[in-house]
Amino acid sequence: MKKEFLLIGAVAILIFSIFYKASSYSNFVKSLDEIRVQEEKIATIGELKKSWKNSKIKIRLDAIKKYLPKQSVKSFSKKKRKLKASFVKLNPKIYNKLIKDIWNLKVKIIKFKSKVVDEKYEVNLECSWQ
Amino acid sequence: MKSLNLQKSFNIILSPEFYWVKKKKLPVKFAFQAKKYAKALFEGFLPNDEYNYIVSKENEEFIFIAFSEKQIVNFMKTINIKAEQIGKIYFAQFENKFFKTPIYLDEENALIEIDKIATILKVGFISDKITLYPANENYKPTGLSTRISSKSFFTQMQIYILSGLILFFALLNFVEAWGYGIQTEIKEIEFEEFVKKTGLPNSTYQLKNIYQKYDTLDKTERNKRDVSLIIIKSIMKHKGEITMFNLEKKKLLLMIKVNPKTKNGVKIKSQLSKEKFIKKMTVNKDIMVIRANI
Repeated sequence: MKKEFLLIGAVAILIFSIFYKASSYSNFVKSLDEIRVQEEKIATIGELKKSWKNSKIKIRLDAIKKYLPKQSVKSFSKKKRKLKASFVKLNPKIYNKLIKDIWNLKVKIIKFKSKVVDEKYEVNLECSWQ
Repeated sequence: MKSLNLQKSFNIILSPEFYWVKKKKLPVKFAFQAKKYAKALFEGFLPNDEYNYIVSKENEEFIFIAFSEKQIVNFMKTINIKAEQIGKIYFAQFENKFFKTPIYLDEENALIEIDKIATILKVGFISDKITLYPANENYKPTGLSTRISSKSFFTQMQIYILSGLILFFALLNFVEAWGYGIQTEIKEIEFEEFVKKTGLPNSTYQLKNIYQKYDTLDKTERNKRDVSLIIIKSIMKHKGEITMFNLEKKKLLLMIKVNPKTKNGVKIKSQLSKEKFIKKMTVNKDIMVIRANI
């Protein structure tokens, strides 16, 4: 019977090894999946950061200010990655261009209020960027 | 006894020197209950050894048989018989038909029944009037029987080979599992290096936070722009005039100058009312007010 114990022991080790291998494989696959998900997230973060953390936003905001008639810029203040601006007497063409440019900028639009006064547009803009 | 050269397995009938028998009345009903008393019953009567016990009920009494497997196996070895070859074990005491006439065990010993007890006697002590016969080889035993518990289905060599093979496969599994472990570690190290290069934190929690921050910002801002552009395009297409456009937080309020009864006014209304983000649309004379949620 002692000899059979050797055989039983060997079979027990084999069964253990099968479960151990299965567990290792499962951990390996799980780890690969986690890494793949993390890599995808990192790639997405990279893309989002690239578009939302653009150092040229300040320059592009200044460019907007430049094409607006001086008398239309009531206020234009940039502080700590935040813009507060107020424009008056904008003709529809300039108004449309302003909307188009702001909409194309990667900024967080906190407030965009506009109304028509004497067939001209008044705009209050507040936005921030990363 | 002569050495035997048998290859097959077979049943054996034990002669009395290999077992001890006792009969006893006990206050229990079944044999398995009586078996608990077997060891105590033989205590002090048997030579020092390990014993197996068989119990059977006969009328009101229990029959107890004690025998040493080791002794039987050792004896079998001396006559060249392996334990693996032993099938069932029977006891001469319960096979009286086997020696209804006295039989030769070997040249010196004979098995005879004295007072209904199977007994071994030296041939020289048996009267000449009693004729001894050789054992009937075709006899089929019918009495109490048991099996050798240490009987093996495999030879020692077979067990070693089989165990070796099994352990070899187990080793292969361990090596493969170890390989998976190493590959996991390599992938993790490669990933850590990749993260370092990006300048992002290594912690999953921090990464998740950064991802959520940018993802929410991106989705919300895209939505603001998409929703307002859909509304503006619809208004412009049907020659409406925006008199007020307020976008604050996640709410959009528009006032349009358009006659709702005209074809354009109807089209703007019907087109925008299909959109899920439109919360409310009201018309007052030639002013249409649109409220939308981003």
